[in-house]
Amino acid sequence: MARSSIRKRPLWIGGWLLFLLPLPLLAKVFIALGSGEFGSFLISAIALGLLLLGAWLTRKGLYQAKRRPMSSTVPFKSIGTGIIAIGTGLTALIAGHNLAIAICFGLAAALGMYLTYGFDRRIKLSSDKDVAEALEEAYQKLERLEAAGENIGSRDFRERLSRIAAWGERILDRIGDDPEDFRRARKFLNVYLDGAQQVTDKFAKTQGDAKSAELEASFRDLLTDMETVCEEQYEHLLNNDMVDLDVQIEVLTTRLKREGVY
Amino acid sequence: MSKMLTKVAGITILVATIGVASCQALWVEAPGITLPIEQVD
Repeated sequence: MARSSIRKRPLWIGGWLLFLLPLPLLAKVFIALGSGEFGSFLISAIALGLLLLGAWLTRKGLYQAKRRPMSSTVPFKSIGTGIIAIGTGLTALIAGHNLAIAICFGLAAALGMYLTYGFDRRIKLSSDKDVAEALEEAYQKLERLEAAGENIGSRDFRERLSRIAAWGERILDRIGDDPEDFRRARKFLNVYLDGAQQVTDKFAKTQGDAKSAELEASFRDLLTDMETVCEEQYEHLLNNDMVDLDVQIEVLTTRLKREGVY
Repeated sequence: MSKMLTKVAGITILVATIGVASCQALWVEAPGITLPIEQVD
């Protein structure tokens, strides 16, 4: 069953490099273990543990910054950066560098972390807060849309909903990266996602009814339209094209009204 | 564009620090492998 579960952290959210870079240390841990050097094994394992913990915290911070900007209270990225800096310094010491050089390694790693992933952003401006709140709500709507889709028996429908959710996710990520897009995607967030979720819920509940064949055909058409609108919405966001977008959303809203969603 | 360059710079630094330090740590004490500098000593 094809599912682009948005409850799991998607692969492309970033931070994977941090898990790959310390891999030589993993080899060292096993070599030290195999050759019975307990001291070397222990210190390498600690350094590896720090680097992996830092990587995990950074990835958690990246996820939170995108998906739950209003709920993030712990500065995971900053803590991750600190731990990675310590881990890198310790690794440099293991590699035979002196303390001063090891500290430089740690500081440079912290700089690299900052440039690559940034630090945790504090939402101060009310406009930023609006966007963050709307995004968090929209991600939750997408999750509900996918959850509603799971109650549908047809694999084809589930896959279509999965694709719609994946497009929705890309649109939200795009808004997260460039909050200027929020104004242009407001209708999508407020009208379309609600409509999509409600119509899916409605269909899931009426499955198996006498009229289900007729409903199925109508639902299939609607899903096709939704998929197209999502795809085009994303393209419009990329091209900063606002007018077409609003017209399309209007058309789809009318369609949803006709289906009895609104 | 500048955002992209910043990321590339950041990734390069991460590779040059975490990656290099990890490889050096493995290289220095791996059994059977001797650093050229140690051979000179």
